[in-house]
Amino acid sequence: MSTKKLLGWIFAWILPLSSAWAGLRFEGGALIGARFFQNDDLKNAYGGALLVYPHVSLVFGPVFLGGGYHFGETQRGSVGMFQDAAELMVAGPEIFVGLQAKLGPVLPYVKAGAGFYSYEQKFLAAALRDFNVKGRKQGFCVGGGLKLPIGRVFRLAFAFDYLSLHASGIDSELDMSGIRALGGFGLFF
Amino acid sequence: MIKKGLLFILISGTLILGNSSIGGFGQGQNVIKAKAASRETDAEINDMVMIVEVQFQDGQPQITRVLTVPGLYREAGRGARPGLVPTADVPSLVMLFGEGGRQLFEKEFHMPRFLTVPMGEQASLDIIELRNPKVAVVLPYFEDASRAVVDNQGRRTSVDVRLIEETRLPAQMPRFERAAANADKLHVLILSNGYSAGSLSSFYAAADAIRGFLLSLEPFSGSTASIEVNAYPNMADLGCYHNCGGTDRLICCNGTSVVAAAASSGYLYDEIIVVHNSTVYGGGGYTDGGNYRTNSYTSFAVTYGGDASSRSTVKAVAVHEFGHSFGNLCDEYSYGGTPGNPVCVNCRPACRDWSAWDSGCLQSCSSRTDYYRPTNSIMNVLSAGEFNQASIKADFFPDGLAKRLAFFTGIVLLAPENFTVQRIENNLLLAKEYVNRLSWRANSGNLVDTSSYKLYAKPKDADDSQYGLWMTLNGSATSTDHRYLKKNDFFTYKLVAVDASGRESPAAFCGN
Repeated sequence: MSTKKLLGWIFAWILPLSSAWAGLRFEGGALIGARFFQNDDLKNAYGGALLVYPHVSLVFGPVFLGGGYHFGETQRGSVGMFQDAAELMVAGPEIFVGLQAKLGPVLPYVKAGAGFYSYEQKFLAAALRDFNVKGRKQGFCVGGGLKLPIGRVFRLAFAFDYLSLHASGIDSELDMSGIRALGGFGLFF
Repeated sequence: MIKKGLLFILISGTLILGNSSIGGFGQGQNVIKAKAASRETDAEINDMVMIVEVQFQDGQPQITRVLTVPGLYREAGRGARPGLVPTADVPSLVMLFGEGGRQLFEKEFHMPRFLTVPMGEQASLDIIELRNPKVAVVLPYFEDASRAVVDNQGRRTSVDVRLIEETRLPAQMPRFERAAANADKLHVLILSNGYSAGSLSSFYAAADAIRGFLLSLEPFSGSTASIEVNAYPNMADLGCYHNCGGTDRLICCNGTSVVAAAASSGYLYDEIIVVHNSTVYGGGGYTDGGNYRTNSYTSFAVTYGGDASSRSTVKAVAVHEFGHSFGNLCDEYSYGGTPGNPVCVNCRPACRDWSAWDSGCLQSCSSRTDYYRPTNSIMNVLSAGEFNQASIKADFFPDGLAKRLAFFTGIVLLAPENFTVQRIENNLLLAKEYVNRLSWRANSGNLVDTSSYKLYAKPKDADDSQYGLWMTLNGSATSTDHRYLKKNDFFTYKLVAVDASGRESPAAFCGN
């Protein structure tokens, strides 16, 4: 199913339903957190990294639809058998759709989406310039979290999701998937 | 007389000797060309030699012949060769004096001490001690030489060379091209004996086989550029015969004739191998008791020439006997306990002498059942196809083949050993780097320390002219990595050891 058809399907079925609940709301915010690779080589080379995740959503009752930007993930590490110093960067926009519920004072939610990631590994040594890699790849993310309203406008948010990304390099394929743990605040209108 | 000989020299003419187009020899290699030229313009007489034949009788020397022949004179191992000259005994001395007692020249020399017999099917005494050896020493020609004196540790003899001189000058005097200025080589001369012009192809085939086999063996294989093996189609009678001393497989030759033929060949001759035209198995090799500083050519080797069907045996006999004559090696098989053994590096009272290079330690060798031999080699069985490491790398008296070779070549560093390349994949996560991990070790036969290594590289399959100096490494290095290679980057490497004086070893090679 193409993206256009998917969006059409969502708007055709979900929006009429949700408008019956509470009407259209807007949510935005920024999360910061850490990314943990599942690939041992990546983990050993770079460890985790601090990242920033600004996002916006349209909320229709229990359903929300939005986008975010995964960035700030530039990590320095030592790579390979000679422990060459290198930098790794992953960034890119995501779109997602989710469902949330109201359980007392908190809003637990689940979401799934697609990411359009750019990645780059750059060596500090000039001799390894030919081995620098820059590319783009589509991935997906699934996860969930909690939103904790504070007053009518502010919300604290915690997210925990899995980001899947399989990158291509020079004679190499690399699984850059991993867990993303985020926390932050948001505004709700 | 010498003056009479000079009259012949004045005759100019053109003569070509030793020019054969058969096999690998004779094609543009040191062809002796007699040029039409006037002797009067030459201040030096550098294309004649004097050969003094000395017969020893219980240590008392006697000059039995003096020959003047066209030929080349050169000193083996010219230049400093520190640590490369074994001193087994006090050498004898031959001196030339001119009118009025003026000394013109002197030269130390050694005499053959043993004659070895090719191995037979049954154990037998395969070595003969030469109690009263005869030796022919080549000297430069001096027009006004009048007296030759030989001194053997104070026991002297002298002779008026004008009275006993025996001149063998051809009607047309050949002129020799001078020896190459860079004479840091071992010159092996293969001489024919008993071949007719029509059968020389068989000689060349045998010589080709011997040359190829010798140069394929350690340590010679590592210095092929510094070893010149020439074949000369000698037509003079060298007096070779089977059944020498009653042993059918022992071929003896007239040493003076052999030396004279070598000197007259126009080739340089540090070592001589005589190929006798015979299909009957046989040969022989002189050893000189361990000395190789002077007149090394007098301890020559002999082999039968055989035919096409026996070529592999012929070359093995030649190299085995060369092991005796050049390497002063002992037979490693046992004669069965007969006393009388020359000092050598490969048949010793204990194996510890060679344990650093050779793990072999087997009892009984040559004429000593109480001595030990190293691992199997061509000095034990002809089919072994190699010298053992003890024979190659011995650094104790009377020195192994490598050290002896170095005396002539000046190559005191040998090609690095075990030079290999291992392809390693370096996981750079988003890229794969390929690494050629090169490793080697210093040759244990090196005579001096390695100061540095020069590593050259060229793309695989590229012409040798594409070799470029890639890096210089410390002399203690035993490995290095060629990094930053992509999947299809393959290389061939050349590694050269360098000593503190800048002398380079032969190269070792490896590649992907």
